[in-house]
Formats: sequence, structure tokens, C-alpha cells
Amino acid sequence: MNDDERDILLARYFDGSATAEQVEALERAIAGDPVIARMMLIAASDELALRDGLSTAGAASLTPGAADERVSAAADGDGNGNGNGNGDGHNGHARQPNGNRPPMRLADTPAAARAEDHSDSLSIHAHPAAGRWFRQPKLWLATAACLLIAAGITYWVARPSAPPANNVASKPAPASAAPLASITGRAAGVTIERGGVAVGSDAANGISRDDIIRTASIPATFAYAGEQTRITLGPASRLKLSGDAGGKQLELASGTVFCDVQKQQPGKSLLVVTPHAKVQVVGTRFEVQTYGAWTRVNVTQGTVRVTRAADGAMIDVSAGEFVYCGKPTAGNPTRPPVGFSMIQGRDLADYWSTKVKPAGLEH
Amino acid sequence: MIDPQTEHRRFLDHFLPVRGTLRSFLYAATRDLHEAEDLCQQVGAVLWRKFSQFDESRPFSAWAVGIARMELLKWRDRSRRAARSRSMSDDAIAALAEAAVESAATPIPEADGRSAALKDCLNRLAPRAREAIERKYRDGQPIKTIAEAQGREVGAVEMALVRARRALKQCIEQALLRTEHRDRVR
Repeated sequence: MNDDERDILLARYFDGSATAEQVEALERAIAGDPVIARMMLIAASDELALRDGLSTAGAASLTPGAADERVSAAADGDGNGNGNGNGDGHNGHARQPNGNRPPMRLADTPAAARAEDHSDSLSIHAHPAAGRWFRQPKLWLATAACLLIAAGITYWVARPSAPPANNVASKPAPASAAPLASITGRAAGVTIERGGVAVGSDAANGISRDDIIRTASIPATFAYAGEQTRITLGPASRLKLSGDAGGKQLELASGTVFCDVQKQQPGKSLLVVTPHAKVQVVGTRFEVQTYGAWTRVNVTQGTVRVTRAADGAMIDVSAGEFVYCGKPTAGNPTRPPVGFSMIQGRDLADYWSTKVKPAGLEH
Repeated sequence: MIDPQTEHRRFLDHFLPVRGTLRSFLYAATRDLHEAEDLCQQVGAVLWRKFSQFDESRPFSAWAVGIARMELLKWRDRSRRAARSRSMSDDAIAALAEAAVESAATPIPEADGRSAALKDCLNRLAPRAREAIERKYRDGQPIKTIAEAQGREVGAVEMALVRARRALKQCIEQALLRTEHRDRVR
């Protein structure tokens, strides 16, 4: 059973339209696999959240053509797996005379609206491929790599299901060098693994080089010592701090990272590495979104160098530009794939290069 | 003498963070929103009645889920006798209860911006998808009714709802994460 089939089964379950056999099969799965039990709980929670939200949101009626932002993943297709939100012309999206749909904007990020120009924000979002939990139930919730093509590949060996958030072993921490960073604010559900041993996540421990940080159901933020750089690790995420005198390195195994990066010294950029790509940050503000078989890097300030892991092709993406990353043989999407909204800007699809190293960024 | 107001406040400090998980657990097991709500209220009443017996050295969430599970089993036995509906097996309920305990151990704080994020994200859906979502979750219509209203096959509406929910969830999570990040770095 694939992800769509399972999600449809869950939808039927809560709708009351599942057959008795389907319900029995689902209950056997719940009883036999704690991950599926957790998925059922999440599905119930999502159902309730939507009911609660819609009963109080008072969302205004949509006037056809009035809204200028769409989430392209919304299936308004034909139910045959072709829905990608762009629809079939019966959606009320009035086409412009040139045949294009009205321009659509990705909402500006709060970071983009901030005036500070000495600290830049970088958001890296590795969204778990939908339904992946059922296919590989023993892996952690979020699986998608940060930058380039997520779909189910994790960096380290497959992990067991979510570790109990309040079961951090109280063991003496292995001796470590001076902390690189420390957690700010709430640290509920955060575990830090050092030398294979789970240590407490309180500020006294700090985060040292080669520490692995894991979050549970809520995000956690840590700050690098001696500077304004802040890293927020999203829920169900896993990150390793590494790097050397040449710069900082974040190895994102799965999940989401938002980075607020103070301008780095020349030759000492911050590097975000996933199994599929690396992103070099000198001083930028951009967003990276990963969903299904694609990753999109969209820059609103500065320049980001993106390296596609599959073939080593590189590209520098600057403000007002974006690029999709996928398998080189997949071509470039002519419209946003499922899970991606429309954005404005210049598509740099034609500028990938395996031969020419872009100029402009050191390192 | 314990001040009742203080005691009540103390109880709510424990109960409110896990109430969401209890509702989800009960709804997952009953598939009936009204039954789940009734049961949740019942569980709350039992927990309050027995609060003086609660050992604060132990996690409240585990105790609360245990009480919820007992109330659920009582409801299930009543339902079976009344032959109202097929109800969940013991093993499945036990598995859901374990998942609920684990989930309740780190309750997700209610995000202030969740409603606004939902509204904004809903506005981004394509019209037919949005209509399907509103019919289903605001108006409580079954999928078959939505399909008839939209002149589509049931399978198409099922898929449309699945995808719209995924899109909404992703959109809301991104919006909240951006807000969370912004609040933390201030």
C-alpha cells in the first residue's frame, strides 16, 4: 500500500465510509506497529484541528480570481494523481491575455520583512515526504534531506521511532571542547548526543563540535557563541554541528532548519550539508523547500551557492532568483511540482554547470 | 486547608496541555466526534474528581491517558451491548493509548498564530479544494455528499481532500516555524 492509499484509507476511516474489512486491517496495523498507531493519532489530531479551526476561523468566501496566492499542491485535479493545484481551467483562475495565470507570490517570510541588514536569515526546510512513515515505519518522522531531492533518504543509519522526549539519560557527558553553541529558550524534547551518549540539553552542557541534536515535537533554537547567528531546528529534526577553523558546518540529516546568520568572516562561510547537496552561506536570506522529488532554493537577499549532489553541478542563486533541484535526468519542472507554491523570480534552470565553478564566492 | 481555586488552577495546569492528545486518542478510537467530545469531558470530570489521589512525582499524561482508556473501554462495552457500531479492538486501543502517552509527554504548545495561519493557508487553496475542505470540516458533510455536490467521483474527492490536507498542514507548519524562528531570535 502506498502513501496515497493509506491516507485515503484514513480519510475513509474518519469519514465512516471505510468497509469493515478495511477497518479491521487498519486496526491490525495499529496494534502491530507503534509508528502506525502514532500516525493514526496524528491523523485524528489533524482532523480535529481542521474542524476546530474551520468552525472558528470565519474564513471569508473565496471570490474566484480574487486571491492571488495559491498552494499548488492543493489537489484540484482529476483524482488520478495529476492534481497539482493548477487545475483544469475550471478553478476560477482567470488566465491573463498572454495565457499565463495571474502572478502568484510566495508570502514574504518574516525575516525578509526585517530591516536588519547585518544579520541574514536562511531557512532550510526539509519537509518529510508525505506518507513516508508508512513505507518505512522504523525511520524517524522527517526523512527529507535539506536541499536536494528528499524522498526518503536519510543521512545516517535508520533510526528507531521517536525517542521518548523526557527520557534523556542522565549520564556524565564525555569530555568535550569548549561549547560552540548553546540552546536558547525552551528545550523540551531536545536531546543532544555526544560520543554516542545522550546528554542533557540544558544550557550548562552547551553544544560542542560533532554533537548531534534531535528535536521531538517542538522546535529548538541555539545560538553560536560570540556572535548573533541563531539556528532554529524544526520539530522531528536531526542536525550535527561540525566544521573547523575554516567555517561552521551544519549536517542536516532530516527535518527543517532556519538559520539567522550573522555575516561571516571572509573564507569562513557557514555550510549546510545534506546527503544530496551543500549550501554555502556567506550572508544571505533565502528559503529552501524540499518536497517529494524536488527541492527549490529561492533567494531574497544576497547570493547562495548550491551544489547538486547527484552530479556536482553548481549554481549561484542571487536575490530574485530561484532554482529547482532534482535528478539531472528529470529535466526542469515547467510549473511548480506538487507541494510547491508559485513564486516570482527568475528561474536559473539553464545555468547549472558541472564544469565552471561560479565566481564570486570564496571557498 | 487547600484553597479550591488554587487546586483547580493546579489541575488545569496539568490537564489543559494534554487535553488535545486525549481528544485525538478518543476520536481515533471512536471515529465519532460527538462521542469523543463527551468522553473527553467525562475523562476531565473523573480526573478532577480523583485529582487529590494523583501522585505528582509521576507524569500526569500517563495517568490521564490511563483514565481515558478506561472510560473508552466502558463506552465501547456499552456500544457493543447497544450494537450501535463496531468498535475498536483491545489491542488497537492499547497501541493508541501508548502512542498517546508518548505524544502527551511533550505537548505541543498551542500556537497563537495557528488560526491565522489556517485562514491564510486556506485562502491559498484552489477553489474546489477549498470548498471540499470546508464542506468536510466546517459543514461536516460526508465525502459522498461532497462528491455529489461537486459533480465528481468519490475517489476524486477523497484524493483531493488528502492532498489539500497535506498542503494545508505543510503551509501551516511553515508559517508557524517562521513565526517561531522570528520570535526566538528577537
